[in-house]
Amino acid sequence: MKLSSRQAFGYAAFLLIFTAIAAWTIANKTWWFPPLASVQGAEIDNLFMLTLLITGIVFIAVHVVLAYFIWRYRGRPDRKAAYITHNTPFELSAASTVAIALVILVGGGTTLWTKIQSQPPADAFTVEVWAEQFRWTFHYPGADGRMGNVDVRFISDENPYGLDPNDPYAKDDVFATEMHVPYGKPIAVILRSKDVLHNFFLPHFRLKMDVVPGMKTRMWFTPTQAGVFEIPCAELCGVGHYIMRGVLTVESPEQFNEWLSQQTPVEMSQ
Amino acid sequence: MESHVSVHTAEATDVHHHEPQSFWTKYVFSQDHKVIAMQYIITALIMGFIGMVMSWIFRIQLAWPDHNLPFMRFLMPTNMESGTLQTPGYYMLVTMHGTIMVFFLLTAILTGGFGNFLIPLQVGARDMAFPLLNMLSYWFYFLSCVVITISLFVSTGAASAGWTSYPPLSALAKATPGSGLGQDLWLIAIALFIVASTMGSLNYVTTALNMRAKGMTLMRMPLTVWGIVVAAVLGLFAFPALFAGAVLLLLDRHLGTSFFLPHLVVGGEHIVRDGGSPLLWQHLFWFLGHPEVYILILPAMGITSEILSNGARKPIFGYKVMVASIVVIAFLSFIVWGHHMFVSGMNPWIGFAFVITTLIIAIPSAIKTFNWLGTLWKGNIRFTTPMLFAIGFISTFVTGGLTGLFLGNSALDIPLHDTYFVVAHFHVVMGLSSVFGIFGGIYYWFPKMTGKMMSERWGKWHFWLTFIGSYGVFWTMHYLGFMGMPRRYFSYESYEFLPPSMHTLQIIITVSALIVGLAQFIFIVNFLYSWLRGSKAPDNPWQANSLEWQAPTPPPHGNWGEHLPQVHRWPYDYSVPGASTDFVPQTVPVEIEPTGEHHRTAVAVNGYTNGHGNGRHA
Amino acid sequence: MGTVMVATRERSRLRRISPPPPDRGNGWWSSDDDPQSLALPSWQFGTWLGLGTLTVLFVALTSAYVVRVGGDPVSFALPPTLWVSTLILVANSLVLIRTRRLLAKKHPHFVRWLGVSGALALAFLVTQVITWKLLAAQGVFVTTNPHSSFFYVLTVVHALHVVGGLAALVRCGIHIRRRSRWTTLHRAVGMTVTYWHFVDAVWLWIVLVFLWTSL
Repeated sequence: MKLSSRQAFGYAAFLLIFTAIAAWTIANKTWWFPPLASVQGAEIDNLFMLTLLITGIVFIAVHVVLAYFIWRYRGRPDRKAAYITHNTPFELSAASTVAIALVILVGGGTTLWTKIQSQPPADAFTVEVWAEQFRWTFHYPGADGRMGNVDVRFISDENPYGLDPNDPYAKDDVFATEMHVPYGKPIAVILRSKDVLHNFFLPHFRLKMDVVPGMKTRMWFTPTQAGVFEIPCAELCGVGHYIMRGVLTVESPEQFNEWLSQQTPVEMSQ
Repeated sequence: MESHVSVHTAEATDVHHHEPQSFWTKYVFSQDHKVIAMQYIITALIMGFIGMVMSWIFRIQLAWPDHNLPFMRFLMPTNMESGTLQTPGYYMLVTMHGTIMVFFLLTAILTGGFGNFLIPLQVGARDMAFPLLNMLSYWFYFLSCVVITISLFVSTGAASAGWTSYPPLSALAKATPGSGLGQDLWLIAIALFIVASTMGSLNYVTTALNMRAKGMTLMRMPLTVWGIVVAAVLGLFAFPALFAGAVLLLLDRHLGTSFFLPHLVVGGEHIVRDGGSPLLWQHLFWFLGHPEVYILILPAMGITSEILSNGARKPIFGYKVMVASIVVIAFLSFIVWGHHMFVSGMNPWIGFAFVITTLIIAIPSAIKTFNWLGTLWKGNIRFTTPMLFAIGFISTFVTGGLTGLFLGNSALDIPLHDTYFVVAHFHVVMGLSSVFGIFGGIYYWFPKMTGKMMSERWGKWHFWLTFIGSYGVFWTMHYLGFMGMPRRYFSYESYEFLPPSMHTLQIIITVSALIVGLAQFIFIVNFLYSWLRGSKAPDNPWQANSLEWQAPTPPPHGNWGEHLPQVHRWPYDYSVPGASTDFVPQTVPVEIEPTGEHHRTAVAVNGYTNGHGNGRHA
Repeated sequence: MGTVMVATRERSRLRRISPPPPDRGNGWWSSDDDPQSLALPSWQFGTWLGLGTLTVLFVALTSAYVVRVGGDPVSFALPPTLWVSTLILVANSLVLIRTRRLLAKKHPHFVRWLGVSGALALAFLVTQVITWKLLAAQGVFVTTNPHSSFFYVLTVVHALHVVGGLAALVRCGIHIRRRSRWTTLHRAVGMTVTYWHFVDAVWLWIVLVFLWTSL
């Protein structure tokens, strides 16, 4: 049975080594999330760590037990297995433990989900976004301070962003290729797509939302620092999906106003 | 009741009289479940090989974007003319890889391959309930494979909108290459596949419920049968949703309807539609899509239970609970599909509900894991190749299942959705666990199917390279998910938030994948060589208990001779105290101990136990 | 004897092993001493399973319809030929009930009634085509609005299943011509009758759904 011992040893050893490498690289955060930049993201990260703790314990425990069983119960001709068919008390307590852990995770998760999906606060700064193959365009109110209505039906060569010709607030609206927001207040985003599904992903903020043609989707977040953050598209949208890269700048209100004043409104030919 | 009996015998004799005569009816258009099984297995393995080669190409692109492989222009003339993969080709490969692996390899081999071979043999029937339908099932599957393969050669490209085919991308030829004829052929191939799957499932369920041998009660059926049959029920009630979606998508594509398409502007052109919703497709797709992944794991779980019990020489721990878990998982799998749509724009309250159902499904899965460990506990483990894979199933299923807990909790899913964390998760459960069930099953039942033994030595090499290499591929991928790398990216070069260390990880993944790929050649050579020249297999090489091992090797048409087997016990009587051998086949009668039920003396008589084989009859 | 000690020790941890209770044959299983199959022959059970699959197909299409139109009512008038189709299929079901009774008694007249059923099916298809033509004359096509889209989809998919039913009837006819064995014939006709009832039921369902959405 030397073969058995060799296989058993190799198996147990591999499982333990693999578990150790996995645990170590995660505990060390060797390859980890990008630096955190939002309030919501902080709560998501906390829930992530809790889940990691619970699943990590299970992952390590199962693999250690598995490795141990492989070695301890490796086949030998003089041994006999035990005729054990079940153990209902064990099954029940194992299931209950799992259920309790899950209730904790679900409780935390659904509470956080409700918060994230809630309406943005009244003082949120709103930006609207057009997604199309393969770029992001950001829509800001013009000098009148009011966001005009846009719709895909109005899009034409002369009106590439679909401004509603009947909406007086739309005429002075600004469309920029970069997203800027002022630091210090929550940011609400309204997302629209011209063509196919896209997804507005902010890795540093731990948030994303699909952009669905025919619908407006929304998300809101509160930045915790100023900075420049990339916006990758996170829903397959065609051959340019991987280069549909936006850039979000969170800056002081003064810098933001200056930037906004430099953006020229789209001229609509009547 | 009289009509039942007469029908039952009539069915038994019906099959008996249809002994095939010519080469064509024996090997090509055979109605024998064993031949059909082999047809499914070979075809599925070929499709899987194609899917695997596709993965090599796009993995090379991800690790070495400046690669140059001039010989590839023969394989992909349109998209690798220069020797470097072009973007449309990348998206086509990624789409077709997923499609081929999920449907044409995994579903086909687990239900069509193992279901066909094992169900009649393990329940003690001569063949399936509907042999003609069974044969048609294979040929519809074959046709679906032909259609999907043809789609690879279409001039406008094969489908490229992901295996999930979300409209509008999949609905409009202008939206992406591949959404022309290629996407139509994709939809037709899937429709044909669904028809094939339905025909097969009707057989698996009816045969297992209605054609069991005398004494084979439901609670004496091997877990393999339970896993496959419940998966078949899932297929019967879930596939029609995708079929409906495919019909509607074809109409949106060609008749100008607005099921999934609202008003759009694509490529500067207005597509005038009337308020359709892409979300409707997602609901229809995932209503199948989620049960589909349980169709892929439940048979593998059944096979693993079988092999673990046999390899540990110990009863499966908690048989009844294992059966109940399979049924509960199947039932719950119908009400979790929304967890694929948490950030789709769907009403968040619906998402709330799906979190709860998704995390509930973790409970029976966890129980099964404890039971597999319980099977090994105090066992006497034989490390045969099938056993290596079965043990590997436990490790990979735990790993993959645990990452599912992150994705099933909607708030946590937000940063992880559509990143490599998801790709890692589903590959660990489908590409590792499910595939390990398949490999374990092939090594285990090859002797019975072909009458030859596979090489244990090469089997072990295959296992170790595959196991270690696959973890190298898919464990590593989780880190890419943490870092925020989105999936379905041709390259990630232009993103500063992705650190340079990502490049190292990509290379580790690709190199591991190529090693795993090479290791599969060991399996292929072992499989073919053993079939042709392997050593003769005894009837019961693994000293196992289930009925198929009592049949001749390989079983003839009609499986058993004149008399069907009679079943007296469950299939997990390994290491029964007092028995002279450490296994007691299901056909061995139980002698009731005359001293009453409280004692079990350990006197063995002629290899039979003197005690009750088991007490758990239903 | 060491083995006995082990066995007894194991005992305390195991549930009591007892001989199996006598099978009671609770109606689902066929009999007390033969509990390895259902009370239904395979062809019947398989037919019901297959109908389960088809049910999910129509339920999927129906729920897609309901979701798609939200609360908007049907904007086109359902042609009166719809009621004719419905009557035809209701009549078909009555014919089928008669057919099944005659079949159970092995009365040869069941053949005639099968023929009537076939004729009714053809009449249904003709009425359906007229219904579609009437709609087209109204300017209601598959692309006109979501209600019309789903009306065409559901009725066409249903009509395809009617064609399938006709094929099943033809198969029965072939068995009758060939004077196949009674069990074969009985099976073929039994499956066909069950299937037809299903097709009739689906039609009623479709009509009810569109009645409901026109409210």
